[in-house]
Amino acid sequence: LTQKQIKTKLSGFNNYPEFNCKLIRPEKYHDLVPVLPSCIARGSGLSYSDAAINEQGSVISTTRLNRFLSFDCDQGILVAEAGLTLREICEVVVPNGWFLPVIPGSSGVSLGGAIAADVHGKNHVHAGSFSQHIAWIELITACGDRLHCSSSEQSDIFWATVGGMGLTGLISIVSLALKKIESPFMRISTTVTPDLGQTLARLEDASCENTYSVAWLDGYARGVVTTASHVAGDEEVALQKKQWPEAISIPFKFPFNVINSLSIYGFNYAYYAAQKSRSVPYYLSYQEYFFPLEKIKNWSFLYGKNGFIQYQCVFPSAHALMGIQELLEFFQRHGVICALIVLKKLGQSNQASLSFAKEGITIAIDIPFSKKIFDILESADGLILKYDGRVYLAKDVRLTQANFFQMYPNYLLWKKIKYQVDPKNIFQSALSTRLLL
Amino acid sequence: MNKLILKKRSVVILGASSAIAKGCCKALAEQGATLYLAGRNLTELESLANDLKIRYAIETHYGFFDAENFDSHPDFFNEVCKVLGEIEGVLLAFGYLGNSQNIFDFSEQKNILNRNLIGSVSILSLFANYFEKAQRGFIIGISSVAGERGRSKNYAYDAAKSGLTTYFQGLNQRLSRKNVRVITVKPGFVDTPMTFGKTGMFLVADPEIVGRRIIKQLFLRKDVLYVPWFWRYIVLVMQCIPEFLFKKLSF
Repeated sequence: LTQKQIKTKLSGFNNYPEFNCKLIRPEKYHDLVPVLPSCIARGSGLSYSDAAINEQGSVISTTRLNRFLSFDCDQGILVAEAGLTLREICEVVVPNGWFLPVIPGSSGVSLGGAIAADVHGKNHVHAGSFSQHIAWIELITACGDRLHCSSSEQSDIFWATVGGMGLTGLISIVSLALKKIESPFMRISTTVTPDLGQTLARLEDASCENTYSVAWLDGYARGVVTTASHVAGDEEVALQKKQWPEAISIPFKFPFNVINSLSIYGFNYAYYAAQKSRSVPYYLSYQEYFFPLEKIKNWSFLYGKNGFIQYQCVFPSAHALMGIQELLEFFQRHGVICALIVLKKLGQSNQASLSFAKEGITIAIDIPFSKKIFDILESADGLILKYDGRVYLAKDVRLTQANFFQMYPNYLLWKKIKYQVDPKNIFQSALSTRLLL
Repeated sequence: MNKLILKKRSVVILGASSAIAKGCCKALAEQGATLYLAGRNLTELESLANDLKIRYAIETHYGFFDAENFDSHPDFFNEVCKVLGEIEGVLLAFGYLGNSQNIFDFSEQKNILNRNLIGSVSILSLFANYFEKAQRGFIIGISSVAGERGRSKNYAYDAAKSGLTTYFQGLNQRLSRKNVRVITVKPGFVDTPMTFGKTGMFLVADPEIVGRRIIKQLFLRKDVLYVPWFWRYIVLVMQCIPEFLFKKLSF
């Protein structure tokens, strides 16, 4: 069986690295099959990594396999093809009083991608990561079998697929347990904090008391902790009068990077001041709260044609203050521009060997791209290892094999299952080649 | 003419798993139409029917239809009538480009003509008579810009689509007097499995946008619709080139 393919340049969301790949795009459920000699599934292509590109073999796009298959409105159980995006799910389930149990920062992410990277949200302490709400998945393995997997059925394969970056097979169908909500609106509060210690303390408290919480740092350790909860059915929602334009679009890639230390300083100063003057809780629609960046189309163009990379890692709570402080000082010393710094509290990890989330504080930093950044980040990896932390594979393009093995000590357990379901190593990506998974 | 209302009205989609049909289905579903999806791949049709039902809260049905099996068409038509009761419109969206390995053999050219032309004529005759009697309804036929000029690559397909276009012209003249709309759609390059991975494609259009444009035409007045619109002018240029020159061109 040969499927039509096109040769095209593919990369992750941050446009680095970019490879010439053979792209296949099945339109029908039965056309979704593994392709020899090697292949990798690609959902929306939004990870900040090299997980959905493959230079040697083929890349199988699931964008056309995005159908809702069933939706039980009473129980909140959804069954859909893996190419369906979280945005489309919200559009359908929110009017029926249901919500995604875990929402990452981008709504364009596909169901398959959300499982492969085992994404987390601002409610990890309470809800865990995305895959902990999966009722079952159908996985197409290397030999073409369609396996029904869940945490109780073929559970070792299920947990190897969760966080497995697509390397155990093609996720074709997903069944997801939704969460009940009474209103599409969110009630939001912010607190400003003068230093890192207080930011972390406030984040710890806030994440216990509220459904969602996140902290923002301005690079000089001043912070803003934002918490949010779903509005109850009988609560009156006072929406802000000031209406933002529907969406603004950055029309082209800037020829140079407009994100520099000066513009960052200005933005951070203004943001901090704006949040400081804000005290009463305010209300936003769920879209405005969860996906603020989608108001600005192509915002990544602001970084110019070199783009940017994101560095996300987690420090165990006991070392979080030391670790983050040391990391930020390290970056400052090396002149790294930290455009956007976001902290989240993570709860207990799950059984998945390659899942990122573990108990502690995660820090995500947007950094304008430059060649010298890789050496700096490799030194930063050492710092993270020192504090028993790890780097998020879905946000990484350059982690070394040695550091990866230390950060993910359960890797060998995963490798055993990988060998069992894919002995000939058909499922490969640039990421798996780099880390020799 | 009264303004067309599609809410809860039934539309039959022939060749429903084709990419352009999927785009049209979405646009029809947004109007609240009841859809009957027909085609050969029942697993696909079931997924599509469920998807449309869940996304748009509409009623959907699906059933087996094979354009090439002409004898089965009356039974299929009766089945559709039984399920839907009254039919408001039909969208003819199936098509077959042929297998490039043996595109110049009669066996393959026969398949191309049977599926694209005879199959359409066979099933549409039933719908046409039904709509003529009902004095209402619409027929949307997806032909192709390929039918505007025969080319060396796949002239059996070009001939079939050319025949289909001519068939729609006559059908339109007959049925327009009976308050039935006939719209001929001539898509250029659309991002479908038919064109995916082919070389020499340019200005390829998104099938969802194409589908929307087609259904929008139900509320407007055109009889012949080129999608994307600029294909009208590409075709115009193509038709103006005299044969002695055209035969030397390589496209």
